[in-house]
Amino acid sequence: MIDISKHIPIILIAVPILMAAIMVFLKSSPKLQKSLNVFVTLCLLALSVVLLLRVWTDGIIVYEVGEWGKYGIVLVADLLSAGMVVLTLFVSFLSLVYSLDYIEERSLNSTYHSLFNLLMAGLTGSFLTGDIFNLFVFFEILLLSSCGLVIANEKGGVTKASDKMEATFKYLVLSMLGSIVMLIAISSLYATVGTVNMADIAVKVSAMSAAGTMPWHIYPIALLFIVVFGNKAAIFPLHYWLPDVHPTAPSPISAMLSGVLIKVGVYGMLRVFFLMFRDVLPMFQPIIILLALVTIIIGAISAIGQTDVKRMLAYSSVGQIGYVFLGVGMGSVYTITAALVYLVNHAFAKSMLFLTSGGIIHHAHTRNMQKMGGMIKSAPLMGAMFLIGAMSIAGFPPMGGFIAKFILFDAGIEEGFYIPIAIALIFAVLTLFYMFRAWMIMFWGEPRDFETYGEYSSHALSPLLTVPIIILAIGVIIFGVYAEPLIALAQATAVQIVDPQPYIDAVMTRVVR
Amino acid sequence: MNNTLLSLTIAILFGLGTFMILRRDIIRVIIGLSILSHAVNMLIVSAGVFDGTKVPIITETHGATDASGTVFNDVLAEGILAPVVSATTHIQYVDPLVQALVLTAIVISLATTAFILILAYRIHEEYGTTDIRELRRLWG
Amino acid sequence: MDSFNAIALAIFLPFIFAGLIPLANKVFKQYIGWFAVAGALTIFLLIAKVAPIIIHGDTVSGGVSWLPSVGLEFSIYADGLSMLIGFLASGIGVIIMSYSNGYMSQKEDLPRYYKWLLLFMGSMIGMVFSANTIQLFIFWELTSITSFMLIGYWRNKPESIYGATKSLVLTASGGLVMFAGFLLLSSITGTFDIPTILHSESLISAIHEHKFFLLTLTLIFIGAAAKSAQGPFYVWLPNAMEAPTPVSAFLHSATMVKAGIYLVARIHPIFSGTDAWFYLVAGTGMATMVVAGFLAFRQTDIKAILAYSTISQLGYLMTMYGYTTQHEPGIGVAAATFHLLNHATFKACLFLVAGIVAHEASTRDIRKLGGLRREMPITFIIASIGALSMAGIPPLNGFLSKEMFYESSIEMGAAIGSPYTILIPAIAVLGGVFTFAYSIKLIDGIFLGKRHDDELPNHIHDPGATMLIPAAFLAFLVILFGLVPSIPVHNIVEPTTAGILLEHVELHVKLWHGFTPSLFMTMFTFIIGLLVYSKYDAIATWQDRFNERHSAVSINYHYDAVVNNARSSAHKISAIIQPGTVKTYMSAVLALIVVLVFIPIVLLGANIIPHTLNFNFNIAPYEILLMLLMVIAAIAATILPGYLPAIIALSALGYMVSMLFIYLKAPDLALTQVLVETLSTIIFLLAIVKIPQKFKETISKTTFARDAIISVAIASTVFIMLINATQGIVSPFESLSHYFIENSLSLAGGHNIVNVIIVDFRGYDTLGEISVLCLAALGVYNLIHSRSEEK
Repeated sequence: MIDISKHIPIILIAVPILMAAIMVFLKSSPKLQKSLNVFVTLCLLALSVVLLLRVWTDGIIVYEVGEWGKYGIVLVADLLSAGMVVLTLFVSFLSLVYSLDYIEERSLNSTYHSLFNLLMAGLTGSFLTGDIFNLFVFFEILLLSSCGLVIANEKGGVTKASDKMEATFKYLVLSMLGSIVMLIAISSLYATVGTVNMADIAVKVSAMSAAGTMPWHIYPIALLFIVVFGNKAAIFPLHYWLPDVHPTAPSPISAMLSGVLIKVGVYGMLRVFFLMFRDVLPMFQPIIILLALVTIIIGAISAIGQTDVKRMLAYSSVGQIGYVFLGVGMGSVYTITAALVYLVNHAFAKSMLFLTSGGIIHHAHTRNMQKMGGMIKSAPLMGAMFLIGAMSIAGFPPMGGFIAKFILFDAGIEEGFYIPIAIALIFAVLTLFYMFRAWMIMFWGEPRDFETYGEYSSHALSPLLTVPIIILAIGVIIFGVYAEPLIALAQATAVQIVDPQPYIDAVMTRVVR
Repeated sequence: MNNTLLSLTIAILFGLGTFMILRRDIIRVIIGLSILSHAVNMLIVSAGVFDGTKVPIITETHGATDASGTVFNDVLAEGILAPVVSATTHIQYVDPLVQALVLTAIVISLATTAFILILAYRIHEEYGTTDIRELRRLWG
Repeated sequence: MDSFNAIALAIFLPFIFAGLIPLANKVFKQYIGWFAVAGALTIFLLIAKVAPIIIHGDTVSGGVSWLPSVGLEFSIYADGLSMLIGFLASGIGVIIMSYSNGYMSQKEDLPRYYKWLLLFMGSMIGMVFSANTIQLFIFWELTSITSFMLIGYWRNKPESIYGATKSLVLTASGGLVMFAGFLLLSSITGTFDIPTILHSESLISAIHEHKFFLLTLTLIFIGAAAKSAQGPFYVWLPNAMEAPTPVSAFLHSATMVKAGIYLVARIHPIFSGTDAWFYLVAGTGMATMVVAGFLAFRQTDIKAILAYSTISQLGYLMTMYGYTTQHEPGIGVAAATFHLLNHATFKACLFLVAGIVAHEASTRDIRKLGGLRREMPITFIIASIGALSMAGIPPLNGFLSKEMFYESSIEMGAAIGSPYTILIPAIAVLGGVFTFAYSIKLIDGIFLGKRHDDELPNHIHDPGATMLIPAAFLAFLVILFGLVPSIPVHNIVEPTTAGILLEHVELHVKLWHGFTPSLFMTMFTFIIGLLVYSKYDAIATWQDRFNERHSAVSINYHYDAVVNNARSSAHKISAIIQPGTVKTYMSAVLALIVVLVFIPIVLLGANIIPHTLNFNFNIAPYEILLMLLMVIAAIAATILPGYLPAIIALSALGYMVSMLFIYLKAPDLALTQVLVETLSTIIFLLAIVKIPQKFKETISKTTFARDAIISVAIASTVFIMLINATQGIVSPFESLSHYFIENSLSLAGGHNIVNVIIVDFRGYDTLGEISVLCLAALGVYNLIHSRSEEK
């Protein structure tokens, strides 16, 4: 009997890939397909929690794929990656359950499950890998699986196929540029230090810096990674695809994209700059703070201008990721703690809002908020859920978003970043404004003109749609009322990020044949 | 192989590819992306670190690959950053790792190119044009 | 149960009661209101249980662990000040909820109404007993959201939505500004705990000397002003009157708007005794007091008159708390505290009367009302007591606190000297005059004068006991506090003042205190007030005319302009930033690439062409030929106009690349490249069979120039990166490839090192690669089966 617990990292990646294949063969028996996929994803979620607990108690876990140490590919589960994996699988599980009732049957049975599994594999693989080229490979998996899922059809079909095509095209083209930049950076790095293992690169870069032999082109190589991860995270000026793609995707996929996928970019920045290029940090931080602030500003202003509920949420994601990067850019343990807390809270609240928007679309058959109104009577649950999410995004207590903003601003002020925090604060007010305004337009006021726009749907939402939303809402509230475990975890993670020596030791201290 | 000349060629291809992806015709944009991926593949290969001249295929059955005294284990405490190679070692092969990386990259770019071409076809079906300027129903 | 638990219970019980409302609704049905009253009463009693300790001069404090990682605990601090507001919130809560049983129709959504009332009460009580700034802020924002929900109680009415939005935007964003102030405060002092700061002289002097003193004070004060409708932020309060009248009485006159006052009193020991405090707090207060009192004249809705009156009265309180000198930091604190209590009683009473009148006469328009004294005698008496107290007529409680206000104004004026000796008392009197005038107007307009029979229902009568008793009780308090001031002064005002000033306080308030200057000021106020009242309608008309002509003076005008145009102007901006053309987006990405590479070049002053670059001119001719052919193929692919020739040129480039791979000793690559190139050419050809080349781009000169610049920039960037990167590995590092070369045969048993790397050493990459291929297939399947547009 193999000790499963030793192999969790690879299981979390390989099983979804395997499931993707199995799902194709189970095409003809949708029921089995659904239940198997949900069951396996739940198991994966449980395993990821086990992994996180083990990392918490025993320290960083390194898994060699093969037995070649840094010469092959290693998977590394430190608190950051294990935490991100738990978050990913949690959101994935709920989105998957939601999808079962939300995605059109034909699309669901044929490719959806496979693509969804590969998206999960792409996410867990990106978080767990300790190899920079392998990260590229998993980024490509992420890219193509998300493209395939964006064009999946939802029931009712509010989103035109042409919109999906257009959005996917923009996404693909911009991401391909990002991939090319990533390859340039990786190969230049390999040519300079002769390795693609992240811990190894970290050691060698710091050795060069200590010996004073650091060639200048390490700096532009490092900064090029801003393009790579900024593109994933949708930071200005690489955010252009996001407001097109997230709204056109089916709601559970929007939840995945906004909730988890853009966080891969944050993860990448933390990993690459704080592990590998610590000497570039003084150059990286002002750039990222500047970009983060522009992102916040653009996200907030653009969100105000929207009438499409999902597009507004997408712009809100742009703005919110700016806040996360603000914490990353300020670069101390406390600010990174704040960034991580913010990240988790945004993942919960935004996934929840996108799932809720799916329920709203189900109810009103449109994404245009101006064609809604007075829905609090006909869809009270969606109203309450959207309000909880909106409050969290706006940083309103007692929701998780408040704790996140509190820690972020506190950390920023403690580090003396007064001006950036002031700007962030001003735009937090705008966030509050557009979130509540949207809620009121949709749920308060007189119901829309039924003769012009048709009646609201009288179908009650199935529990497959409502339960995931409610679970996320409970999470949002818990993170607001009692955030201590989350903050403690984020703090421990931030300590690991800022001091990467344990990570390096864990990877490098091993005997290879 | 003259590295500078190769670098120059790669750079020119990058320039041409960039010019192409800024065109308005979808197919030309995709051609531009293909040029870029060719260029980047060449770039990876040119990043190989050995100046050997042999194809990385071991022709000797045995003996040639006997342990050369190279240290492969890191000892961070002692500052040993593997691999440590004795000064006399000369690798006669070209760098195999970059070739392996390029192989992966080539296949991936094939996959994405295929996908984006079909996407272009679908866009043409939906929009009736290949003008990228028409592709702006999503804005603001 | 000890005091700490009692207060903690008082904070959380309202939330629990609110949570039980849906359940209770099933049991109590139309009597659900009394369930809420019971809840409020329990909380009142809980606070009353702690009261003796506080009246005795002690404080209650304590905490439980909450967020130790950021140094926060859930902590409680109860002194006289928190007790006063706590009593107001729960006591007036009892009265208001009892009244609501008569006021709110059974057809209304009662569970929701009482749920939000209870939630508000809990938030308010939680706020005043919070011992740290963050906890205070949390409850503070909760009062904002509950207030928002209650203002928007009739959520289908546009006016309610407008009022709710306005109150939320102003109070909640003011709250965020205040939050920034709190964070600055904690960064100066290193603690979130308020009592710690209050009781530490060294911390307070550190704050006073800190460079951010003024900023911190201003930020916190903005929050307080927004909440208490002071200064330019007053605009939300009149619109908040869209709430049901009991809500207006409770939140928007007696309790929630006092939160800002509470905060000012709470931070009084920290910031007072400085010029900044006086100018900011008292200055804002005086301006608001006078302007709002004056603006009350043109209101026709009785609730609007009361709203402006509330703003003006809150201005009184601000002014009094703002009176400070370096030697005597709290000149007006006692007066303010007493007035705070009195205002809560008479204003809540007046609001309840307004509710009764609106309920019975079906209108709140003072132009339509009139002459109701005969039909509603009891209401008339109650209203008169409230209004006369507000006007400052003895022997009611309003008279007493206004006397104290005048007294402290004189003292303050004397303390700073000329010209303030006259100016401050004069402003105080002016505020009093306006108050007097609109108080009389209320009584005159509703109960005296002629009955407008055509505007009013035929039968108007006093309401039932459920509505009358709460109002009467408040009127009783007004008289009681006026006749026997020692009861409130000893039990409430003294401990509160002691809580603010952090010292033992003894006050002597008597109804008759001799012919003091303040008494003359009061009499003067009455005389001028009567004169002004005689011109009341003329002034109102003048105000209307002025407002029509100079609408830009109005703050509402600017608020509306910003909020109503927010969407369209934001959309204009976003349309520029996000124009929809992918070319723009790509240009931005490419520009960023160039910038990011050049930032280090500039910052490090790097030599971009390495010294060691050996431009070996001894180049083999076939190398040049190969390179040349590649460039030619690429140029051909770029300039050939037809799809087919361009694609052929592209595949020529691809095959050239595979030749290069052969030349670079990479046979596996060459093989793969040939296969892949063939495959991708086939797909290209298939695609262009389906996509006819209809569109033909004509490249204008400017476009060409711009794109050429970008391309050249990218090309040179890549070139610079590449010639530097290919200078060879930095010594003493060696490539990982040594391992593969040495071990591929012995460990993996393969001769072809590249193959071994792909399938073994880095076989995991290949797994990913295969997944990508499958993904492309799945994605293409989805693309082809995606729903086509309905034609």
